[in-house]
Amino acid sequence: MSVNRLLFLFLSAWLLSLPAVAASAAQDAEASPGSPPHFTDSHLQFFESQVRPLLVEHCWECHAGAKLKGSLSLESRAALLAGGDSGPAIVPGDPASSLLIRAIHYDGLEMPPTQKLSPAKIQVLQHWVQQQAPWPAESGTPIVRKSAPAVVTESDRQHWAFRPPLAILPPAAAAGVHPIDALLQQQYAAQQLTPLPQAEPRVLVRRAFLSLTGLPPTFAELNAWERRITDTVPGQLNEVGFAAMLDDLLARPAYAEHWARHWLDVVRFGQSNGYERDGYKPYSWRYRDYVVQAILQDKPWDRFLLEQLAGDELPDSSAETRTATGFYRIGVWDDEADDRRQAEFDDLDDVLVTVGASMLGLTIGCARCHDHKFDPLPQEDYYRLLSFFRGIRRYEEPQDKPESGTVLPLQDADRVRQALQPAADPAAQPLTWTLAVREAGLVPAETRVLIRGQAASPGSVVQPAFPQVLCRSETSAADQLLLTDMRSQSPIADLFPSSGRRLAFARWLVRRDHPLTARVAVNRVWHFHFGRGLVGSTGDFGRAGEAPVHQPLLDWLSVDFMERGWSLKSLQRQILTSAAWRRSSGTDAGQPLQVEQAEQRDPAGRLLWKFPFRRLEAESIRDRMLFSSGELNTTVGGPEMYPQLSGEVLAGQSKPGLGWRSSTAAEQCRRSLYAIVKRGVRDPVLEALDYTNTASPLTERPVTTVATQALILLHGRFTADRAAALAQQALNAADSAAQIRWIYERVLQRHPSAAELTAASELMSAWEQQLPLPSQQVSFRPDVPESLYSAFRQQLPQQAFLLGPAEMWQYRSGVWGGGYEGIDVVDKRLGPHAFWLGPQVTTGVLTGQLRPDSSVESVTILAGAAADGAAWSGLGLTFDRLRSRIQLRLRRPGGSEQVSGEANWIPVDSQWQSFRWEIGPEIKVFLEHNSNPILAVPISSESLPTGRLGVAVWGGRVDLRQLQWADSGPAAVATDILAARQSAVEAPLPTGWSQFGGDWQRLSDTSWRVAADRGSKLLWEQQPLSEGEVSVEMRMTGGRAEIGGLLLCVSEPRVGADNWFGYEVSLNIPAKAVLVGDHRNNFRLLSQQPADLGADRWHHLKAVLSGGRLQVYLDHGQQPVIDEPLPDRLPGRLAGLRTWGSEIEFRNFRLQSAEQSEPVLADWSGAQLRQLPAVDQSQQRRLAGLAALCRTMFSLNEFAYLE
Amino acid sequence: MSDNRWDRSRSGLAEQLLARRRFVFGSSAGFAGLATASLLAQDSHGPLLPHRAKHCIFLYMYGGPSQMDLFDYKPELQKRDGQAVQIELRRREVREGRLLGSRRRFRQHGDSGLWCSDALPRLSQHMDKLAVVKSLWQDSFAHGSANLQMNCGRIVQGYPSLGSWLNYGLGRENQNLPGYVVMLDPRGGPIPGAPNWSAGFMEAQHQGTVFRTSGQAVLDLQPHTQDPPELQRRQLQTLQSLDQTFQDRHPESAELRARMASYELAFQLQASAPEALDLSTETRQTLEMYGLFDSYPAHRLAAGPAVFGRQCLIARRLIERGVRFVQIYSGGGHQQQNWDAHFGVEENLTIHCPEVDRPMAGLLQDLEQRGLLDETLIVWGGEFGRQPVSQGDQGGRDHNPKGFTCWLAGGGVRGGTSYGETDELGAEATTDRRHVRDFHATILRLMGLDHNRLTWFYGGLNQKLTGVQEAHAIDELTA
Repeated sequence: MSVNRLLFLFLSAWLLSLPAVAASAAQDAEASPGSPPHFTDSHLQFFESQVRPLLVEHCWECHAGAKLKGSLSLESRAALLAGGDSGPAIVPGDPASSLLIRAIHYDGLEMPPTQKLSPAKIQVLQHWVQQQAPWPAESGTPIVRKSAPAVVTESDRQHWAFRPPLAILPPAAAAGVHPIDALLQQQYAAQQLTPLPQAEPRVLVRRAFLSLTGLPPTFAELNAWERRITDTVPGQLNEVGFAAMLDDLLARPAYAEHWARHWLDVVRFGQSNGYERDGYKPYSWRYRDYVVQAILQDKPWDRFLLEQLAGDELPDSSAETRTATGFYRIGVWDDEADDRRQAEFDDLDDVLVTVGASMLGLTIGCARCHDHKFDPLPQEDYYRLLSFFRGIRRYEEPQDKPESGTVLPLQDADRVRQALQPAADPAAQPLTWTLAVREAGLVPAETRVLIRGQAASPGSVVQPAFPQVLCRSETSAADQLLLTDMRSQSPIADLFPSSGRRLAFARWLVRRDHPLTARVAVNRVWHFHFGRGLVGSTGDFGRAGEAPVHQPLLDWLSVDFMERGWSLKSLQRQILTSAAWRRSSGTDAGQPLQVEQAEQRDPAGRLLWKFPFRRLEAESIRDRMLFSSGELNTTVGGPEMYPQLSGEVLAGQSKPGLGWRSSTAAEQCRRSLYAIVKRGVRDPVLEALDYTNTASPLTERPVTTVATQALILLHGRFTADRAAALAQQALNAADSAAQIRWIYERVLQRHPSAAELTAASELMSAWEQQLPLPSQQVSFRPDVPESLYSAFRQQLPQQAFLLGPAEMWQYRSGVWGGGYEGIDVVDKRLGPHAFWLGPQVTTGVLTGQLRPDSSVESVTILAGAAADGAAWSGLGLTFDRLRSRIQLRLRRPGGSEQVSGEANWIPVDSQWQSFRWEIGPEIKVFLEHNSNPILAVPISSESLPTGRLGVAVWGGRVDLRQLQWADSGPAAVATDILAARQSAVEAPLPTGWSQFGGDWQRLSDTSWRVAADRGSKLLWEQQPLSEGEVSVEMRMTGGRAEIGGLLLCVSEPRVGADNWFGYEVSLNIPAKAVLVGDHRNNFRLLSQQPADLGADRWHHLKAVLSGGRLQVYLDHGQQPVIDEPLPDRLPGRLAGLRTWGSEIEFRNFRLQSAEQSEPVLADWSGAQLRQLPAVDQSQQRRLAGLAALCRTMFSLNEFAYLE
Repeated sequence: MSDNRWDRSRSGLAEQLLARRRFVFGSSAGFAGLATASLLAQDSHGPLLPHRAKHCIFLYMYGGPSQMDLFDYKPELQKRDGQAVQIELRRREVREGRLLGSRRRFRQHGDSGLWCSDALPRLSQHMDKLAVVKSLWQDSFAHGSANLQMNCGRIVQGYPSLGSWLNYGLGRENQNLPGYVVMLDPRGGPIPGAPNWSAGFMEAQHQGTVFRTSGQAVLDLQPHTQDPPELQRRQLQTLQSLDQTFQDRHPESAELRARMASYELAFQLQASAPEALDLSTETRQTLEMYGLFDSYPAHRLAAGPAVFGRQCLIARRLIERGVRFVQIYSGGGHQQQNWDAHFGVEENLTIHCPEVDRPMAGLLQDLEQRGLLDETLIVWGGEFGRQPVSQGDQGGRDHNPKGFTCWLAGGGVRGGTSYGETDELGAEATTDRRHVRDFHATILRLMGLDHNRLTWFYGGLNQKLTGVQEAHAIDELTA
């Protein structure tokens, strides 16, 4: 395709220039008869621009590379002259005698066979042969260019950024002024600017916390540090206290997490591949953790870069440094590249662009297709740089084995050697792996300049070399030294060979006299403190980038940084102890006139006469909400978590939920750093706040303000959940004023002013007076799209399908099916529903009011209902908005449904609709207090089901109020369903059990049932077991009998069919067999043996783990049905139960550990009842008011900005 | 080359870029409309070209509709039905395939005599309004990258989409609605998802907002906590008043004021978005025109015309209210759930053509009746076309980026135009071959923008929708 493009571009030029070219070719041919003619630039340009592309596009499919049809290669002039089976392809200068030309005219041969070339193309080739078939001299000779090659001169090297930094301090520094301030003072004087005074200590404490850790201090911390840093002299700080505060902050993991995120932006960190499948990148989190640990340990910056570029080639290569090379693997990858050759260079370009933006401060990518337009980077320099990375194997799906092109082992050299020896001990612990760079061998493929960047147009060969503009005469010897004897110095270089070129490049990059490396690093740190670097374009120090606003300052900082051992923490201290960093950001502190003048001269505050306040990054805003609500989970490192996605967001995926997982609430409360960085799906909370761009390096995040951002912050579920948690805790304070004060402490770390207190309490009273309470009105709304990727749907907890009141209701996903391309579609008539946990009902009267919003498709009120697999059985009264019908449905357990009555119904959107539903020998439905029923259906009393009341809704939101149930009979008392609260409800699970998907119901203390589901698990954490036996009695229900049974040695359990490690011992009813398999995030069958099994029959299943074997006994048999050795024993210790497509009743689940004499019978006795606090309406009202206040405060500028 | 090779470039274009970049950063917290007004006044950006179209509706047939079964009539293909040919099915993978003639009947329509098959009987009555381009090609055989190219100009992720460029270039007319609205097929979004309507390296304000035609129109439009409007109004007042302390400390900051103003806009959006989506004020006749009452088709994967019809009608309501760019996806999910006819092109047409035929015809007719067609550009097409050879045993057709059909209608478009040709089998564009970037340049041109001057500085380069390669608007399509 690229060739077509070229052809198109050059077509018009060619038509004009052709006669001239032909004439000059003729002259040259005469000049040297006999020998291969010498071709002029214009010949070769004609060849490169028109002939070669044409050959590539139309001929090379069959006549190049390994595949040579008719033994003919069209890859070189010599090959054409030599020809193939039919003889020479061309006779230079004589098109008519040239086989190639005849073939394209379809004269004899017909080439290309699929389709004749256009006349214009035929003409091109004809002219080319006519001109003696110009072709560049073969490999090694530079390809002729359109213009003469660019020469980098001394004057190009004079650009400020290409000369090494010089540290020159003004005299003031010697007199004790902070060097940063001494340097800035010169500028203030020149610009007649009067800087603002120092900000208040409180402001500085908060500023230090937020800029170093991305989190605010607690109220108590703020007060304590404020005291420590306040000096007796007003306007001064207690430097000892301030230094102590910095030490404290810089030692926190939170600091490393926050600054790691900054680095991840510029290295385009992502955990999926992007493109069509957007597949997951295993172990990408290890790279993220590497960055966090490097920053926490204050790894010298030069070493940090060295490890990322060549951690696999270092003499002290280790697990850590190998993980660092994940740097190469976290970018985008097209697993179905349209043009594989081109894609290989796209991948390398991604590396060069990233190295350029993150480390060199150069927009190298611009020189891929032509000489850089602004910087002295000739195209050859691009390919010389590229050749350092040429050996890198393309990304591929990582696999835990040495041959994989994208992993390296984590163990030390000896262990690796042991494990990979031919006679490796099978009992030895297997190697663990990390995402890493790999090369194909010691010598990379040759690198050629690609004409116009096209892989199909290779030009001259180049060797690794540093950009000419950065090679100075005084360093050339050292440069040369690096380039001679390039080899990997890793202790496992023999097992994982590589060229050592990246190591040479890395060592050049971190040389002490490199003009860019330290400057780029220092400038970036400055950028994050002042919202803008001393060089505004932090990834571009070239000529199209911005000139430094204060070069002496940048230079001094860079030199100082290197002198302090490239220590990031020292640099942080250096900056944060300057008066510049400590200035006020607000105009309140300055004298109005000065401020006004300064504003006019430097409105953006670039000259740092004030501290530029700025909005926090997306992650900080999200984390700060969790911090305020007290929910922040500060676990450091490890695999990523998946934030909750609403149905609206899922709907945007082609397979909604593909590649997403369901994380626990606690996991979702981890810092934003740990949220999966998936290229195709983003958490809208982060995205709306200008979250990172993962496609390419992001050097500066923009700050945008749009209405949708306000919606997400003010209305979103994330905000609402944080506010609810915070409000609940605020209730502990004595009265509303104390509660508001406490919330201010938590959210803004200060106390409200009198005016703020009034405004807040007025807001609360408005809510308390006007908001309907959950005991008065409830709403239900589905939170999933109508299509869901099957594997994701199976992970979702039941309550994720339908949003509604938290207590007294049990949620269920409803029926999903279809499975087209792995996508399940909801059965809208049996979709997500909720059962009320109050008493069961049979006959009686249900009255109430419902209000569907304009997007509701149908609402169903359930009575006498029970779970029937994923569906419900019982009576359903369906208000079908789409069809304007009302239906009475009776569903029998097992699936038969009959519509017992139906009538027209005209819905009025957003209006309350009263209904009265009489359930007895005759079922009657009345609407709007009409005395005539809209439906009246006689029903035999034995057909009347007994069960729960419930609600189902699809499409939009339905509000319900005044729901009353009155039992039939003389003693009937109406129950207010929304207000009624049993003193206790059945808890879904007793303590000690953990559930991973599925619908598990207690039948008695020792028996329970699981609904048919794909891969749901129930684990008993009370009794870990490594050696011993586990047994259970189980019965699969006919019609829903597939596979299910025991789990052993489980570790890393998660919701999802394959999301765990462990052994499965199951009955396979359809196959009438017992099976043993292992799950290592993937199922592998180890053994399957026939057995006498049946549905609806109790079977006893026992598994014995002993001495590296797993034995399975069925129905108390004496001999094991399966006796399987476990050479590579899984380390987990949990046991439990699982279903795969079956509805199963389990009882008497017993474990006997080898260390214990008595078996332990697992029970559900703890699952009986969970106490609910008594309903306190005034408390409910207060909660609503407090939550509204918290939600409001999360949107404040003061909350989102750092000043 | 001379010593000062790069010095010269610096003093020229680079300086302009610097000026431009300063501007971009300086305005990043402002509103789109303001930004654009000053941007347009800049020399580097240039004034609007004369044009008629103010709004654009892009009907996106996700999956790649089959040109030789809809608009690109190939008698030779029909004649050679069943013959074996060598054909490139993936890049540089030439295989033998059996030609599959269209099972559709073709006819010329209207004064222009443009061809259209009987798969789209209602649309075919409007052929004189269309400018059909039959010679488009693009760079990728795969959906993910082809969708990105059709939407964002590149086969790689990270570039702004057409709607982002239009909004950036033209600004917003209605501050209470987003300028760029995307409506998805309920069966799922297109691969690779949101990057198709991303703003790439531009600011988030330029990205597409997904409007749902069921459930909440916009993400988090209604509060999760379901507060009634009077309480929300109250909450906004409190927000403004609690913000005062901070605002007082930074009275000069437009950014802070803009942020508070965005909450007011969000509140307005709660009324304006549902109002735009509310079809209850439309007449029965209008609803019928868009096929909202047409019967539901029997095929288990089919959605019927009501879904797309509702979206088309909403699109008209949105552009009436000043939304600049509306994109509607027909087809979602995978394979036969969209236009990706690997498993039977006839079945695929049976599923999808009735879904879009009446709604598209209705949209053209409705816009014309209301005098809106002249100021609205309609774009129809998918990410690529299909092969003339049969795939699988159900008469499917594989992807084909080498030649495919899109059409334009409405504002400034020369109706009744047929432009370009594929070869006699419909496999590859041969006459007047045009890359997608030319198509993009044409769309921008019709909207009054010069694709060479609509630029955004990023990564050391003045980025354009049409990329670094030369592109030309297709003048033959414009009136």
